[in-house]
Amino acid sequence: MSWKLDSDRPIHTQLQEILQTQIASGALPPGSKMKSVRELATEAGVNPNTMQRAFAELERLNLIRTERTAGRFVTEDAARIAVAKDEIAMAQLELFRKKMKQLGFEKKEIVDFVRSKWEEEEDG
Amino acid sequence: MLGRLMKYEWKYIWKKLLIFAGVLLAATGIGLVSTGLIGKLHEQDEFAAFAIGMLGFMFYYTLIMGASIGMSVIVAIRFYKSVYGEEGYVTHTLPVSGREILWSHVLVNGFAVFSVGLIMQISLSLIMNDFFRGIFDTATLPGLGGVGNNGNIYAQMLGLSGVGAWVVIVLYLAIGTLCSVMMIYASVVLGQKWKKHKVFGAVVSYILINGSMVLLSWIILIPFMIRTIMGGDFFADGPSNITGGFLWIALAIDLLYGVIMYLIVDHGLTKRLNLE
Amino acid sequence: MAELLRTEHLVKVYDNMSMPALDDITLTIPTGRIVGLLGPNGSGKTTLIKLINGLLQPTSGSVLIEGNRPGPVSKAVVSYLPDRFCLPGDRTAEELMQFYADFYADFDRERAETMLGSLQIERTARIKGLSKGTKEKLQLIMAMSRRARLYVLDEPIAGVDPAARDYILKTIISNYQPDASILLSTHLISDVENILDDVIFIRNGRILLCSSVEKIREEQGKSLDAYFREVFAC
Repeated sequence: MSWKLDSDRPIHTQLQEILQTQIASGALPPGSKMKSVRELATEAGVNPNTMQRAFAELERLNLIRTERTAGRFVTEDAARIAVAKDEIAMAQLELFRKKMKQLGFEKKEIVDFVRSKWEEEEDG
Repeated sequence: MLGRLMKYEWKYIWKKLLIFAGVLLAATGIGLVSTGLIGKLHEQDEFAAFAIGMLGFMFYYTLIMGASIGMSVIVAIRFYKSVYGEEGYVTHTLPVSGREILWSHVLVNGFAVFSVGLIMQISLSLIMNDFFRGIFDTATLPGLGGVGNNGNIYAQMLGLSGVGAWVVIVLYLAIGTLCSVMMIYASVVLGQKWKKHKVFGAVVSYILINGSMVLLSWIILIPFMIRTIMGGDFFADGPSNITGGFLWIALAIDLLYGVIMYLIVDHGLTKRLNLE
Repeated sequence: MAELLRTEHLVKVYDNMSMPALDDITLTIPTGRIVGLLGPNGSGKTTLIKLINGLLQPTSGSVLIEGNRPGPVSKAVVSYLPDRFCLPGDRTAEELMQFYADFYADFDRERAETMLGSLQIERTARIKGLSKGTKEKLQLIMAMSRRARLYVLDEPIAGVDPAARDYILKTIISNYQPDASILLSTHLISDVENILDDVIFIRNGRILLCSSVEKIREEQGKSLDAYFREVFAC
């Protein structure tokens, strides 16, 4: 897992995004135990307090839960995970839409573009 | 923590102490052979043997002096490195007080200086005894083994007798060592005041401190000496009259300087430490 | 969060200088933080660090570690990594560990041995025979093997290759304890900014700013490195 972090944005936000994506995609399976804050912080090369802050936010969003002695676990709530996946995908879509508009594409053109390029990729 | 500091100081010094002891032992051997040669042959006018004997004796003396000065230099360097050198960063971040650092050096390295000094004294006493026996009529002066008034000629010279003589010699050596070690450390501490030439400053300080001590000794001793010479017949009463009194005065001066130097070093290691 | 380090109006003037090396430094470091002390060369970072460790005496003001002035009590809980290599060359790594164990109750021998192992430093190796990079890592290992309350690291990654830098930073992170804090000074900001909680900017012996790093990112929209360049522009 690569932790590519941008120093000019708050790190805790980025950590949160990365973990959220992993949960949404199933890379961190539902109900699975998460590595400790310290371990992940060492892996990511960040301050444990910053990682802790990301964890706290994920907990607030009900994506992970803490069991006092056992540790931290990914939620088993499939619906919640699906929502998270959807939200992340939406955010990407917005970015894409904005960029395409910047390039001068109209809505129908965008859809056609995507369809043709996608199919091209599948055939080729 | 003092014990632990002392343990590590001992680790640094014990091998050197052993080497110095070995050198002194060898020197004493040379010395005894030399005095033997001088003694046996001076009456027979065997000039060559006599000359060799004298050379041997000078060699002995050089080794003895070298050992004494050498140990002092080693002790000074060790203190400097440990307190003000790179190693100072390690020394002063240990959970110990400046005073504990000071005493670990004084007790262990001072002991080394003391030991060298003691071996020197024993060596000198053996040599001197042999020397005088060789030159004077052996019948009038019993050898080293005798305990009592006419025992060791060296002890006699100092105006002391028998076992008591050695107790006083050891005491004198101990206090003298303490004083000289403290003077060395104080010189190193004072040398730190010279921003650019700390070693040079230490040497100058040492010379000044020693010089002041010699001056003080002379100022005190001259009237005493005059009184003694006026009061008694120098040659009739024997050397003990002169040297005995001097001994106690020297001891007192040593103690005084020892205390003053201790205060300087203590202050330097606690209140005024500035490692750069 | 308890208070670990506090300085109050700390001033240090070196003997023959007219300008103070440190001028009225007042700061607090709580437990559980990794704090960066950042500033150009000669800004007073090393002076402050030496004062904390009792290697220098303040001209005025105070520095307190858990309420104690620098002395045997504070030194037992402060682990110092100087900016130069100071370990005695004629000892072996094994003897060095024994030395630390003798003097520091908080020395964790197991941790030291593990780290020595991972760097492949032989226990019987004589220190002066090690390469420069290995020596510096050794000094770091000894400093980080103590379970201290305050770790003070003076330029821990300067003059070290990037791989070693990574190793050092990972070691610092993995040693983090919530009841301890780390104060590290550096001018290689982009390398360390992700591991810092808080930062102190210092220039010409005065504190320019104390802030959390994330706050700077949020408010300035820049990395710490970029912000530093802005603030300290020549």
